[in-house]
Amino acid sequence: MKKAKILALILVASLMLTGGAYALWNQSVELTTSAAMGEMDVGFTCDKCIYPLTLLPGIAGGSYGYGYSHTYGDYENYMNPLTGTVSADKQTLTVTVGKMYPGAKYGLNFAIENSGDVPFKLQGVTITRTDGNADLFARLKGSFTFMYQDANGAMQQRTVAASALTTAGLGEAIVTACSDIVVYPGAQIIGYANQDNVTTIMQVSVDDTISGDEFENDSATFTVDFNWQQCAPVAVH
Amino acid sequence: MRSVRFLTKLISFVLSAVVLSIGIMGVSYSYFTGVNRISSDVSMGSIDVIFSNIEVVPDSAADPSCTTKARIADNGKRIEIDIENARPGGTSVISYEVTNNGTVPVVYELKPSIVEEQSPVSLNICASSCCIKENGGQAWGQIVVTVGDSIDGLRSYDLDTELNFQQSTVEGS
Repeated sequence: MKKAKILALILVASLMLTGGAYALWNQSVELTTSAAMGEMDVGFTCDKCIYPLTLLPGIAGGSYGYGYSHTYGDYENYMNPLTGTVSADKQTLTVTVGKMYPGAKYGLNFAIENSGDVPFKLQGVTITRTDGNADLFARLKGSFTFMYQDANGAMQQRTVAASALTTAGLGEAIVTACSDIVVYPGAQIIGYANQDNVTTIMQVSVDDTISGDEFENDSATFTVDFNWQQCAPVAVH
Repeated sequence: MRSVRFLTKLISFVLSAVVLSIGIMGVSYSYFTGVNRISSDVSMGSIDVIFSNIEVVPDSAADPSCTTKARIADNGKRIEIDIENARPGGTSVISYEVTNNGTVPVVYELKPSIVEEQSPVSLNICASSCCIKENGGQAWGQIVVTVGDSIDGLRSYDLDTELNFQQSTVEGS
């Protein structure tokens, strides 16, 4: 019985000691972490956006008549309308070109700018005819000439030869040409410029073998979608 | 008993593969993506040249019994000329006006007249200009029909000619 009392006393004493320890000063430090996601923001920028790349001769000279005085004049642009505008969110470039003719060619001069926080690459290009004459659309060709900044900050040039305006044609050719290009935050893909002239980044031409009255007053509407993707993350060990 | 174990293992393996695939798809889908679009509308122009006026030029020296009639047909795409009581050595002159209602300038591409072999009747075209402006530009010319000396008085002759126009040449800027 005496042993039991001693044990009970030890137990009570132990509990008191524990309570005492718990009552000692204690302090914790807090680590607050906030993880904000980056933003992928890629958009078009351009001033005039669209340029005629072919011209036809104008008419110069005096009045018509039997004096045979008329001759060719300076070359003129006959495309009308010829407009290109970028939407407010910079996601869409809308182009309207009228009064084209066999052999006619126009160019789009725009920049694709990474104004976000993450680098990205071109994942795919989808070209779709959305309306108009399918046969005329098949007689259009597209090509690209552009410059970009490589990983060392040096400007490099790439050219994609003219090919059919299809996803499998021009679309895949662009993706192949851009397969190793990373567009870093703040970087741009732009038209190639040299001292004397500006070569537009994208060129569209009408087949110059169209003859007779084929495709007169016809039209074709199409879209070119550039699909961008954040670069694949690399694990750091 | 053994086949039941095998089946169980197979089902487990397939389920694991499906779960893993879905997991990988989820990771890929979580990448940032963006799309930029170029939306284009391309319309073609046209060439539309018509005979807009013709006129038979009077010839006081011609035999009064020889008459020349000309008219525009096929919505301006053709002119028909009838010459009656033609005499050897006689000529008929028809002035014409052409208008380009198309959207690009055109140039003449004159082709030789198609006539019967050894025909005594010849046809010459004189154009006022090598090129015609777009959107209503005009040019004038003359068609001269000449009857040769060896004409057969009892025969009639058919002549056919074309005025061809084509888009002028393209130049890169």
